[in-house]
Amino acid sequence: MGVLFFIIIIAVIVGAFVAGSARNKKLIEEGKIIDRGTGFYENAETFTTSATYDEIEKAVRGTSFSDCAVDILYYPDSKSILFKSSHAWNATIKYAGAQNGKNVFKFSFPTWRTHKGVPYRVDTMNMMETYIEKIFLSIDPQTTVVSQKQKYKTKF
Amino acid sequence: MTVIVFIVIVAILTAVVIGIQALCNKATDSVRNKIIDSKTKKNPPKEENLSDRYK
Repeated sequence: MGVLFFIIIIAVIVGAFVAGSARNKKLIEEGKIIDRGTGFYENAETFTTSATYDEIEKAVRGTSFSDCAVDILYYPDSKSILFKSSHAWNATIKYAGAQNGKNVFKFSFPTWRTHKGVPYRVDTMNMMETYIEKIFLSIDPQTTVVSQKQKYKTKF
Repeated sequence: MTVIVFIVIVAILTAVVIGIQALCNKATDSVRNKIIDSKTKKNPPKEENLSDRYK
């Protein structure tokens, strides 16, 4: 009885892993996500681009983020956009000033909730980042990016 | 009386567990952030073309 129970548990874990991998592969093929490293959501992405805040806001308004289930709040005074997802994470784009005649924007996930140390829906976080990167590329294909681990604080 | 003592003990134990968890989280955060600082100093993040991620 105990052995059967153990086998069922292992089968469920392996099944969940295989299903998750297949789903990720499908999303990559559809272009909705790209293969990112483990813990990519801990990184802040700094984009240097010729795009202006107004152009980015316009592109965000014209994009459907239905896969990510987000409410979008615009703060034109501080040139920032906040995405509040019902998948238990937030994301922001913030204007960080001008540098060598180009604009610098910082994209990050300031908060996310985890289950056993992993965000609930990390795939939707990947989708969000992919949407944002594609927005930057659509406005300025010469956009450069610096990816940097950000410090954060655990709360419970 | 017994019930009240039981409730008080459970409340104290819960507070202790929550406190220990908070301390562990703080210690973990501190170590992780120091590691991030150290790695960033050794290998500063490099600029890349965003389009390279989609080739």
